Order: sequence, then structure tokens, then C-alpha cells
Amino acid sequence: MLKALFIKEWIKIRWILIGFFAVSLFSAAKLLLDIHHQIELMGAGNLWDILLFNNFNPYRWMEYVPLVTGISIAMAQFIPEVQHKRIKLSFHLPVNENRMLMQLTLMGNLFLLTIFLSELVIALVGITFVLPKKLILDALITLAPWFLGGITAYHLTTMVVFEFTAIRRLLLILVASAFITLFYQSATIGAYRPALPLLAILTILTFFTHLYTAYRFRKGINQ
Amino acid sequence: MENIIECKNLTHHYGTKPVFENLNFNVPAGSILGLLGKNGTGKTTTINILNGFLQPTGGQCFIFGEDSQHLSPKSKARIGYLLEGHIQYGFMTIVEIERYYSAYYPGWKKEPYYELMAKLDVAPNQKISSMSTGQRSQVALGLILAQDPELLILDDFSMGLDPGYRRLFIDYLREYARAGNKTVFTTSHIIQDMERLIDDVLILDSKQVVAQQPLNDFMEHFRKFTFTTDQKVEDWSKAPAINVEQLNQHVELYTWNEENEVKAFLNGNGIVAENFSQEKINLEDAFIGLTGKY
Repeated sequence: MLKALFIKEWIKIRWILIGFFAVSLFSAAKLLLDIHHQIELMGAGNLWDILLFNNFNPYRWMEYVPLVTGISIAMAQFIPEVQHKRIKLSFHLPVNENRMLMQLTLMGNLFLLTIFLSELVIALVGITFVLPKKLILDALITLAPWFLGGITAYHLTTMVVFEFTAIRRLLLILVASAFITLFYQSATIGAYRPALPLLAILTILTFFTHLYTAYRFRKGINQ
Repeated sequence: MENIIECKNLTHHYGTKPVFENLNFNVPAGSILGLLGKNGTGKTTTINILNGFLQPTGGQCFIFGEDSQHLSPKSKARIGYLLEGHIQYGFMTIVEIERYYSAYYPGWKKEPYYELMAKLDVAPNQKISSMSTGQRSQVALGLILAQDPELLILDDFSMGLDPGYRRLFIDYLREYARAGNKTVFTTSHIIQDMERLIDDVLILDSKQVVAQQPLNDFMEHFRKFTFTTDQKVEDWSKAPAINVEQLNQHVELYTWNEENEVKAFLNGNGIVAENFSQEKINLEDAFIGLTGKY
């Protein structure tokens, strides 16, 4: 059943996924080119120096790419489901409704992880040839909250899409936006080091937020 | 006979506006029941409650003995459901969608699906969204036939279909339901379609059930009498009738009563009726007679 659901979700949003996968590869490639360009201009030693002591953040332009990816994939996956209340087809399948909802977001998470990990692996492996381990770890710690923010944005967007009433939807957008800003408080290298475990827990908690709005949608509450 | 669907004291309000109150009805196993009602009488609301897609304000429905608000996966596997407008996954092809659903139903039978698809002029790799409404209706029906459920719940199966596709849909459905002793609960805004399909009729009006009986009984006992009279009768409320419409001299009277009871009322009230006759009516006439034109 999971395989069938995976194929269905893939067919539904494959062009969006391929598009964002291409964007992620472009991002990784651009980062590598930027780093190599800096080394050409100032030499590896100077680059290491400004990365360590001058708060230079060559990854900053990637800050909102995972956020846009998460929001776009959630919208592509779930707007067709709420249009004409098509999600009823999934709820009618012989599977518990909440389980079905979790399976749907599991597919979204798999797609997102594939995109994000590809980007991270290519970017980080690419810079291991020119930067020391300490700076690679700093890069990972700098990028991690943005990717967690992308996954959080995916779940919170799904929650919003299932809300049917305009006022509640607006309220949820405001709450979700405020929540997401937690992941974008600072672009300083390594600034999120102590907060990363907490951000990871918060991200996991958002995995369940759509169950509430989807229940309201399913039961026709306030429709 | 065992009831597949049982609804008890079903009540629903949208805000403060009541849709229906204290509905009670049963659908016995093996029957094809048509739910009729004018716009806004709660047909789709009833279907949503039956499928657990709407929490009723009061009362309960049971399907296979389970509360419809908490149907188990096992019970859902026994129910085929057609959404209003034949909604399906438009981004899939007829082959992809068949493979998708087959993973969920152990008793899946793809042969009736592909038999029906063979009648359509569509390519196997054609997306459902690029098909006509009629073709999409056949895809939705074919998927239900492949699921082979015991109970079929169909929400306005006629919507958007031309006469040919409506006839095809009804003929396939009727043959399938009769051959497999399936139970069908259906609505349609085209009453002629219902007449070709259903065994039992359930009519909603004025927030309640106004008729539930076998179609043949309904058509036999609900009558339309016509006559002409020179008198302008202001108040027909005491007449033994459900609905009386007088346009100039011409009167149409709909009733459950016998001819002699109607004539006795006319004579007793000094109403001179000429050309008195009972007209043969179809289900649509009877429905309008029972619920009124407005």
C-alpha cells in the first residue's frame, strides 16, 4: 500500500519535485563555485581566516531555498487533495484516516529529505576538498536550521491547507509564520549550535499539526 | 431482512438553519434505494454523514452495524463510494489509477474495470483530467465495480452526464447490483434515471422523510387526479390531498387517497368537477406532486 501511495504522490507532484531537485543541485553547485572563486581571489588561507574570525557566511543566500521548497511541495501535494474535497477518496480507503494522513506526509518528507540531503551532501562533500573539518561542521550547523525550517514549513503549510474557514486559516498562517521565524533568527556561522536539538524536536512536533485541521476538514466542521 | 444502513433520529443544522430533523430510515440488504429531494433538502448531507465526512448535529447512522462516524477499515473496504461529480485523481491515467486502488483491496477484480474502459475511446496513457465528464464517470464506476463492494453509495451519479452516458451508467450499475445482490444507496437530480434504477424510494422534504417505500407501491398508491371547475377555491387545505394546484379552471390534485374519497370531498364541499380523471404519472410527476414545485 505504501508503494502504491508513493507512486501516486510521485505522479501528482513529480514535475515540482524534479524542479526543486534541479534547484537544489544548482544551489550546491553555486556554493562550490563561490567557495572556489573566493579561494582563487584571496587564497585558501585568507578564506579560512574570514570564515573563522570575520563572520563571513558564504551560505547565506541558501537561507530561504529550503523554506520555499517545503512550502511549495506541501501546496503541490495537498491543494489538489482539498480541491473538490478529493481527499475523501483517501479517507474512504480501508486505512485509518489519521494513518493515511501520516502516510501522505511521510511521502512528502521522503521527497523533501531526498532533495535536501542531495543538496547537503553535494555541497558539503564538494567543500571538504578545500576547507578543513571544523569549517565543514560549521557549514552544516549553519545550514541545518534552514533545512529544518523547510521541513517545518512543509508540515505547517499542510496544516493551513486543510483549514477550511478563512479566519482560522489566517490565524494559522500568522502562528505558523511566527513559528518558522525561530529557524531564521540569525545567519551567523554556527549561531544555532546550542539550539539545534530543540529545533529538531520542534520540527518533529509539527509532523502532527495537520491531523487537527484535517479532522475538521473531514468532519465538515464549519464548512 | 438485514439492514445494511440504519439511521436513527438523524438531525443536522448548518449554523442555526436546520437541514433535516429526526430522520429515521433503513436500507435493507440487496435493495437499490434512491434518495430524492429538492435542492437543499440534505441529500449530499446525508451521504456525507453516512461516509463519516460530516458529524451530524444529532442522531446516528450505522453501516454494517458500525457507527458511520467511526467506520473501521474493514467496513470501509465493503463500501464503494462515488463522489459527486465523479471526482477522481485527474493526474493519473486509467492504468495508473487501477494499479493504485488495487493495492488497497485484496478482492480487487480488474476485469470489469478494463471491460468498461474498452468501451471508451481513450488511450491507456491518457490522463483522466483530459477525459470528458462522461468518460470520467465510467472510470469512477469501473473502479467501484473492480472493488466489488457489498454496499455502493453514489452521490448524484447523473451530474454532468449526457443521456447516453447516463443510460450506460445505469444499465451497468443495475446489472451489476442485481447479479451480485448488492445494496445501493444513491441520489440523482434526474428523476427519470432513478426510475430506471431503483427498487425503493426515500423522499425528503420539509426537513423530514415524506415517503419511504418500494417504488412500485409508491407509484401505485400515490395518485394524480385532474378536473376542471368554474369555482375558484381559495383554500384546498381541507382536501384529502398532499398538494393541489389550480390554474384558472384546471385543477391537479395529488393524493394518497382513493378516487371515491376525493369525489366525496368535492361533492361535500359543493365543488362541481368536470372531466374528472386519474392521470397516469411517472416518478418525476409523483415527486413534484408530493413535494411541490417550489
